[in-house]
Amino acid sequence: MTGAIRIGIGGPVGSGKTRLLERLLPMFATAGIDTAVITNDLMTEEDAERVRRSGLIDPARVMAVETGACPHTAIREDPSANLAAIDVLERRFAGLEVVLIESGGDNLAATFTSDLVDYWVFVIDTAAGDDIPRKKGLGLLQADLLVVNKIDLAPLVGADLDLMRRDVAVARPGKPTIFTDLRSGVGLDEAFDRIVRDALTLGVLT
Amino acid sequence: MPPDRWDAELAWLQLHDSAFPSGRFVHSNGLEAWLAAHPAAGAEVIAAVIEAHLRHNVGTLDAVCVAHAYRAGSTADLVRLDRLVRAHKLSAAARTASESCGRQLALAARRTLAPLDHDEFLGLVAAGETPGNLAVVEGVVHRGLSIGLARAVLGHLRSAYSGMLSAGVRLGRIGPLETQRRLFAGAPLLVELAGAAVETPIDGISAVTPELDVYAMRHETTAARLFST
Repeated sequence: MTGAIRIGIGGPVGSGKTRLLERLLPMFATAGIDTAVITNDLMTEEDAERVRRSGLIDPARVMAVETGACPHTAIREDPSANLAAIDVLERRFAGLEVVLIESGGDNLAATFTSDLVDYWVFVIDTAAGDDIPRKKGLGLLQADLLVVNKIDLAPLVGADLDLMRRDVAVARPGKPTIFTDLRSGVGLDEAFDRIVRDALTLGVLT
Repeated sequence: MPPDRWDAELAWLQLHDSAFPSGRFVHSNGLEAWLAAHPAAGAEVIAAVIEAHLRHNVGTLDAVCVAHAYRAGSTADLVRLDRLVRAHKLSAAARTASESCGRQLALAARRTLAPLDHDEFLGLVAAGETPGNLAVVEGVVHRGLSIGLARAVLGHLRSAYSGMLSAGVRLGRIGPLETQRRLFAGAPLLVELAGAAVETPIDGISAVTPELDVYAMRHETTAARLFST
């Protein structure tokens, strides 16, 4: 795989994928990393439009991909539409270093194929239930980085964060997990540092 | 069948397996918009729309061009044919579906099917120097894998048929068993269209499905949609 490094962001609907994207974009910009975005919206261009209107990135650097009602297929079995979008972005922006690919909201079994991404993040949230790590979905098991978001909501919905930490440690031995509240920014620096450090190990970012 | 022909048979199955990553699954060719406008349409009517698309569009344009691409004498002939196909794709949706799937097939074939590693035309498609319509790319790929001409054309028609029916399933309007029944019962239609396509001269190509074309064009500006086309 040549060209820009490709970083996938997957996870269930409402877990905070777009929020993570919006939080990371200024950090990539501050770090001087040339970045573009692809969103795999389930039904509309809502996420792409949200990112375009955010003022965080040149709207021309944001592309939306339709997934034929199969968001998991578009990042796993047949990433053709995403690969085509990457191709367009790389032709449009010669110095492109990173493409962030947000998957359509999917279930816990969604995974990114290595034919599409170099590195990927899976986002879950505490409000969806503190038993998610125990269910050991493939996304949670295989992602390079797990983000457990909305920790601020845990006490409000009766989610046990200590239990989630223990279950995550069992489910992902040796793999990083970061607990975040992306609205306030808790855990965000750690997530960014981790992503950039891992991208550095891939030898792409310098 | 001689043992060496099994290679070609298996290659044919591989190309037309829905698991082959050429991006067909994101295209409904106007069916998504048509279904949204016809909420009461049942399986019988939906199948009739899909079969009309096959009979008056895929069969009379793309399938014919698969055959001509298969028989093309040079890369220059293929490029001319590719431009001709683009000229017959009236809507942006039709061009997008044809060219994006063709390009993805060309890229995937070059990476995964050894006899096609250095094919000149596929190289031009990959480099963006020719549109890379699916029909033309399929003709080249089938010939490169020593799959027979009739099978190439039949495979193209069959994939188009199953792809449209699959879109109907994913849009919740046709059942998967009904789809399989239709695919099986549709064999005579596919054979008939393939036979005609192989015999059609290049100046006899046409694509006339105005209703579905209009819905494909409406789909281009629809805010809420699941399919690219």
